[in-house]
Amino acid sequence: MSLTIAGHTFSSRLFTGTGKYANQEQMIASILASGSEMTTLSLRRMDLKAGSDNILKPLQKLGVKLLPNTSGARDAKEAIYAAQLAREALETNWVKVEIHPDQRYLMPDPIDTLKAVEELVRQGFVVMPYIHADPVLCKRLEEVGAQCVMPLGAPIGSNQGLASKPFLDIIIEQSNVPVIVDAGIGAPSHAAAALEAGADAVLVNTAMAVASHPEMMGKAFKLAVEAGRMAYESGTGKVQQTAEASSPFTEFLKELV
Amino acid sequence: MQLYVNDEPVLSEHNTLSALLESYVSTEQRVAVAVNQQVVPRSLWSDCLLKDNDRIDIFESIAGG
Repeated sequence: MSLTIAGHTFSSRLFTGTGKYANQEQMIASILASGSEMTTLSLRRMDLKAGSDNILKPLQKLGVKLLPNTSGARDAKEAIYAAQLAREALETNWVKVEIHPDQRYLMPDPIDTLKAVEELVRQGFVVMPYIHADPVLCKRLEEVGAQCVMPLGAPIGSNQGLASKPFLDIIIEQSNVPVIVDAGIGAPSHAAAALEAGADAVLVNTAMAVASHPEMMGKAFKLAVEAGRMAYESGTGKVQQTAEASSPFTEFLKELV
Repeated sequence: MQLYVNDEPVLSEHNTLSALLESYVSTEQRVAVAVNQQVVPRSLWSDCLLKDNDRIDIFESIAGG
């Protein structure tokens, strides 16, 4: 059941984010209930007047692995800078590369992502790139040393689910590194569907954070991801157009005619 | 000397990065600092000499997906 990325083994296939929660207590309760062992953080210039909200302490207490992202980066140069800052601030060489120049759809820039990943791998980072569900790009990222790929299901925070499903299927079939479906997962059923289809993990943030009961939703995602993975490992049946009886026809039925 | 800390103009007497940062960052706070967009590891703060018009940026972790 476990998943290994860059030598680190996770028993949960649910990764989480820390954004959009109404408060820190709900965030901690939700992540705890979800069983997630890795959660993302962003980096910002400190507000010198307001002081910091110190998100690190409660997360460290929880014992989850912290995954900094490069959110806010508009090109490869900014993403590399953000990764270097994050390595210093969080004492980790893991980074989720996300580069989105367009604020409306937050579509990841494939060309600058490839450039950034290549350079960050050279600099010794464990790189997890957030990208469109593009099978060719996934192979290119794998070739330059990405430790996994993180194709989107749908635009960030859109809750649309696996809008990219046919392409996720191709990526899952071809990939030699873990495939983590990121973005767009709006309900536990979407997460279960991703795992059933053979995705190695999912990353969920908005759906848990904006739920009326984030803690319960965290638990719901935990169960969905476990169920999805179990179904994948059990092997689901073939889809077909015609019916196939689940009960055998008997002499009794023939006598009725 | 004239410095800029997170874009705020600051007149400073300090000539090392570590001395300047004492008034902004506590010892247990986990931050990243860059001088003119070059990341300076914490272990090098006391060796880092500042000069007029240097831009110092202090970053911290915040919630994000």
